Amino acid sequence: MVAAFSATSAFAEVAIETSVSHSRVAVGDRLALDIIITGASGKIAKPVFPPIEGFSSYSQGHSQEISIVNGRMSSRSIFSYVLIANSEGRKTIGPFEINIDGRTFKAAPIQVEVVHNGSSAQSYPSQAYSQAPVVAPPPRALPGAGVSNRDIFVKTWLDKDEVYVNEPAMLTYTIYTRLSATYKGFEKEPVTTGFWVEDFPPEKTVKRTEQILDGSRYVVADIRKMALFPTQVGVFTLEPGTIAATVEVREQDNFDSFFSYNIFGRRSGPAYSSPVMTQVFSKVLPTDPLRLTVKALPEAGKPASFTGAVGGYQIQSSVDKTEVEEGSPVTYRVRIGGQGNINTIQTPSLPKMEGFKIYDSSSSVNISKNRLVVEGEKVTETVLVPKKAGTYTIPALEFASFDPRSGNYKTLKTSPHTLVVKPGPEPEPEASVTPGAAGIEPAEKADIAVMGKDIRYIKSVEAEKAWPVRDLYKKPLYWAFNAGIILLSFWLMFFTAKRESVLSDLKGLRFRHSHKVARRRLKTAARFLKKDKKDEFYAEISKALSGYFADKLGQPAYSVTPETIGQGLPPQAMETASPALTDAKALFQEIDLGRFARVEKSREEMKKIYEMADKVITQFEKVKLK
Amino acid sequence: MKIASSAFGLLAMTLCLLFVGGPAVVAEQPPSFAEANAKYEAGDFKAAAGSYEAILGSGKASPELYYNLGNAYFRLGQKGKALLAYERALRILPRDKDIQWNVTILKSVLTDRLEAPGENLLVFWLRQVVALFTVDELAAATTALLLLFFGMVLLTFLLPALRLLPQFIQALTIPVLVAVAILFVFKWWDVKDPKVVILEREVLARYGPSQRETKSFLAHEGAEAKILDEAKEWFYVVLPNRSTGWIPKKTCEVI
Repeated sequence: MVAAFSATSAFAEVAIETSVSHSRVAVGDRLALDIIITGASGKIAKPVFPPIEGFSSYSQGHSQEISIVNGRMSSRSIFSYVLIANSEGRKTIGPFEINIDGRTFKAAPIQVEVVHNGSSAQSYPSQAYSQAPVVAPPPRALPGAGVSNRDIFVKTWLDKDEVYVNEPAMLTYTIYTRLSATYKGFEKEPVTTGFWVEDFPPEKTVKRTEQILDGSRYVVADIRKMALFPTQVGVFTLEPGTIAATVEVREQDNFDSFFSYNIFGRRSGPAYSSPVMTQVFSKVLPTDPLRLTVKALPEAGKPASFTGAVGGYQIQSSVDKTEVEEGSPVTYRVRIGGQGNINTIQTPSLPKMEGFKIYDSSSSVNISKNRLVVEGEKVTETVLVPKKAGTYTIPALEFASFDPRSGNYKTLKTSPHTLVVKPGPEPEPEASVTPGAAGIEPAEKADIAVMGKDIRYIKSVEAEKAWPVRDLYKKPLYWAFNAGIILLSFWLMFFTAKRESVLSDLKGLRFRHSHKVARRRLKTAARFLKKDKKDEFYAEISKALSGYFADKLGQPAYSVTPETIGQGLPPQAMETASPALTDAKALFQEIDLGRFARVEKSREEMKKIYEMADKVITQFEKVKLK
Repeated sequence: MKIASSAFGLLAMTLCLLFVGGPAVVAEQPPSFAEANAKYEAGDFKAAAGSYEAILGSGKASPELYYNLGNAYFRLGQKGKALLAYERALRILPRDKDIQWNVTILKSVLTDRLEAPGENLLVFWLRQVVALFTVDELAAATTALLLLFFGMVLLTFLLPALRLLPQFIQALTIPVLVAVAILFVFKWWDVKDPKVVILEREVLARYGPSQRETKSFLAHEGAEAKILDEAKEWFYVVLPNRSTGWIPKKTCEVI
């Protein structure tokens, strides 16, 4: 939301500014025009403006700056142009139309005054080349399109026609001009397939001289120099490419401008005018193809240590310490320097050394082209860590190179180094008194590696007795036997369970029903009493009592006698049961007396016995037996 | 306690009764085991295999004999016959590490991958467990546990006063008995159908017991299959991967 808002506000704040470097210029002078758009967002199209009368215009490109300050984005877009004034008078540049994100903005035109160029070429302050006074070639008025190849041309040349593989051939581009011209660079880069190219820096190559060719005076300059290191044998045709240049044609040629790298240089003198029309043209300068023969290196006398280095080299080796303790590193340095393709040379490597750990080496290459030859040095550092004390020698390394000048191989050797390795710091003296009793150091455990898989060896002894295969499950007898066991088990279990339940249930039943049965019997006895059946009454009362106690105590009825009554009682029930038991004993005696003594009992006595029996049962019912 | 030991005595007696009678040995001077081993040690695997076969042919059989015969065949490159011999040795000594190792090695060089696809983990585990026992061991163990159970029942019946101890042993016996019975049933299921080992390099199984029938699958030497049915010259077999087909009897041998 905020971003959107600021974007629109930024859009609203679009500002277009146009500026020129000078408001007053001389004919032939350059003018910088900048169109600066600030605060715009979105796509900015190239400004459109009508052809500027009296000026040649060149676009210098477009630059953009975006900055965000405190979350606020601001942008600045600059379109730069170079205008070269062609004619005198008050000129109007613009108006300009700029399309920003679909909307068209207009910028006001600028007024510039172009004055007569009164001074000659010499009147320019010659900044870079304040050499001997330049003698200008005879003034010529040339039609623009008619700048001939005689007026400006490029020559390419190699310093050698025949080289060995990896021997540099120098390719030089030389421009010859009779006009005021500006070197713009390469329109088409040279094709250098099959070569390792090292370009020389332009400030070292550009050298201006003057030459008279076919009676004409030319300004001559080497615009580019490069070293080509062939990588293959063969005959090569080089396409050196084409060179772009702008040529200024007017009455008075300005030589200096050709090599001025800063064409926007402030050259505007106050009295600055030219009476002559000046025109600027772009020109593409072709070059001629070149032939180069690359020879193979001679096989004769090629040393075993040769790895392809061509040129003139020296080799040196050094160590940073000659005395070290075991385990501390030593840096061994090999320096190969000289002329040639340093980048591709191989430093001889150290042989495997007993008693040392050798770590990967690092190398650095330093190339200098300042003397217009490719030269430099390659430094290779190897770290050696001695493992044991002693005196060691780092062997001399052999480095072979081919010298193309003499056509011979040259073998160089480094000097050997002696390294004294001292024992490392003594280990802490052992605390234990007995030397060598350092205890058992556990071995590092590792799984036993399986070397291969194969069957195990034959058995040499037959076991005494092996369990023979019977296949019991196939035998009906086995199944019959098992079934028999199962059936027998179940039958026994069933039988046991039944017996158990019969026993326990009978007791319980009798116990639970004892009172009911006794009451029923007492009722029957009461009936006999009413009917005055004396014997039946006593028998019933006796049955009721003995049956009741037998059921209660889980005893057979015959075993209930006045002597044994109460024997099966649990001890804790004895106390509560004792009055009932005493009564019961008395009652049993009364009953026996009534039944077996031939003494007549009155109805009242019989009624008393009945009541006693009722009382005993009621009392005993209250006794807790379980 | 006395009754428990008498129950074991009864078990032992019953087993002895069941196992009475073995193959009658009528030897006609076959080479001895040591002689055959000497041939193997000398590197003459063919002669060694012949000697072992001769001993077996005379009616004498031992797991060591089968094992050594398997080794001899393995050295001769006859994987099918080697597996047959190893399987026969394992039937007697299922927990022998040497036989197990050699079977693993042998199976690792067989052509056919014979794994039951999508096998239940429980079934896989059961298979591993029952492989450690012979069917006889499981049968005997089941009977022994049944007898123990019976002994406890009898004890409860005869001495009701002691019933807590036998009931406790009974309670322990029942789950063990059920577990062993399950293993026994599983093993029985595994062994009830005879198995064959394919002895020829390649055997074409068909959909019926005739060369005119459609081809079903191609099995290679050392493949094991269960016999489901048989015709005059053919076995109807099922591979562990559940493909079925009829193969000629002469291309295989029953373990």
